Order: sequence, then structure tokens, then C-alpha cells
Amino acid sequence: MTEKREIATALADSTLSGELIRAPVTAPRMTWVDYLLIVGLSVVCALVFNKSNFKGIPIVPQSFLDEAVSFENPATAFDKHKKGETLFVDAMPYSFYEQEHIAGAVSLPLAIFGFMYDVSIGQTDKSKEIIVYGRTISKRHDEEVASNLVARGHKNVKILKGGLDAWRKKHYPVES
Amino acid sequence: MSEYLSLALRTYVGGIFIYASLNKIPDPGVFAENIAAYRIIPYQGLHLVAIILPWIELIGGFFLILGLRTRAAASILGGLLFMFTLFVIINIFRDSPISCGCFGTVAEAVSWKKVTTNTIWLLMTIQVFLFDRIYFLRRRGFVFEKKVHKDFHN
Repeated sequence: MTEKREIATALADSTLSGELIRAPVTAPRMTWVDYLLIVGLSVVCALVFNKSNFKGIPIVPQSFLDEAVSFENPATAFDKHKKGETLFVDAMPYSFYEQEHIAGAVSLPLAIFGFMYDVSIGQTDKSKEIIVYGRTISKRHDEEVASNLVARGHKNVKILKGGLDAWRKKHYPVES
Repeated sequence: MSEYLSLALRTYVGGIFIYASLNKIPDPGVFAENIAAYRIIPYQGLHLVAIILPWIELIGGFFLILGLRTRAAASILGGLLFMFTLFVIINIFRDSPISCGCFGTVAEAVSWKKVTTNTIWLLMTIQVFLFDRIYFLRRRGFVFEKKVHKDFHN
């Protein structure tokens, strides 16, 4: 194979041995080094930039679960919902709240927490029980909102175990 | 003709990815929120994806435009487009009220129009992968043909 290539090169370089024509270049060979180069360079640049960026984020998300916050199972939460003494807080972004939420729940999305807190539950008695829900595979909205509520002085904050999915599966009341 | 088409397409696709990455790189927290809305990437890996993904777009885009490792760059960016399209389709079926997040903070709802656009870009990366032959940064400069001996060629 190498010999054949050498002959081709020798012939191509010779102007005496015949007519030269132009032929398309074949596609370059690809190796894992090419991928390693692109991905490796990206990873290094990304980590270095993130470290020096003032808006950088931790590589692994921090847990916001406060020790003062406990979990409430859906059945118990539903009993409290029927009595109407507990405040249900939806921590998901507002578009999700608009689509569907636990009946009577108030929206408190993390992105506009400060504003919505003042509007919706700022005047609520700090000892009133609050059950927060809103967790997905990608984001624990409930933990962060519950933590913020504890930081604002609320003494009885809980997280709904299984979130809206568990609530819906048991056919408890939702509204949109 | 394929070589010239590939050159044009790889410049276009590379430019799109560079533009998309420049909106995401400065604020990975916002991009992480956009990815989280898709509800597909697990919580523990979310930030890592938000930090690294825009840089793969940026460097892959530059490699495409400069003609460096174009087949690898095209296949990586094509893989990303395939993944993005899949994520959009999943969320269309879930009826998720989310925006695409494809170009940072610019709000564009997930829709079949977005799927079509991504599919067209994906086809462009396939064209580049298969037919790209024009390289700027090689030993002989701007080349896409080589001289071979007719006798040997035949």
C-alpha cells in the first residue's frame, strides 16, 4: 500500500511521464484525537472561564434543603388541604403554574421570589403552615423556595413529597 | 459543486453555533435555568452541561469555519442538533409551556417550526461531514483538488 502511494507520488511529481490531471481530494481520515481535541479544548476553556467569571456557577448544584424544612406525604397534605388551614405554594415557573397547579395554591416562582412574596404571602402569619411543591428531574424549585421562606422567618415550612405528580396521581384537586 | 456548497454551509452553521454560544457563555446560570425547563437533564449534571455545552458550540463553530477537523466538528455539532431536536419534540408532546433557550435569553417557544429549522441545520452538518473538501489551514493553503498522473489514475 505504501509502495503504491510512493509510486503515485513519483508519477504525480514527474512532468515527463505523462499528462497531469486534477482529481478531487478524498475526505480526510477522522480519528478519536479529533473529537478529543474539540471536546477537551471546550472542557478546559469552559472550566477556566467559569472559574474566573463573576457569574460562574458551581459544577454540582448546591443543596438548599434547610434543616428546618421537612417533607409531607400527599395523603397528609390532602387532609390539611381539605381543612384549609395550610397554605400551598407552587415554586415552579409561572407558565407551569398557569398550566396546572394544586387547587388554591399560590405561585411563588424562584426567578421573581422577592416581588411575588410581597404580593402574595408577605402578610401571612409566620407560624402558619406552608407546604411547598415544584420539583423536576432537573431542578429542585421546592427546596430553594422553602429555604427562602425559612430565611424570611416562616417557622412551619414543609415540602410536598413527590410534588404535583404524586398529588395528581391520587386524583386530588388541581386547577388551571 | 459539493465542495463549494459544503464550504458555504459550514460557514453558515459554524456562524450560527458561535452566535448561539456567545449568548450563553457569559451567564451559565441563566442557561442552566433554560435547560432545566426541558426536564430531561438530571439535577446533578445540570450545571456541568450549562458550563460546557456553549463552549463546545463555540469551539466546534470556529473549527468548522476555519476548516480544522471539519468532519469531527460537523459530527459533534450535528449530534448536538439531533439532541436539541429530540428534546424539543419530547417537550412538544409534554405540552410544556417553555421557551427554546436556543439563543440565550431570546424567547422562542418550542414548536414544530423549531424542529424543522433544527432538522435543516442537521442536514447541513451531514452535507459538510460527507462532502467538505476545502481547507484553509492546511499545508498547501486553499486546496480542494490535487494533481495526479493520468496513467496511474486510470
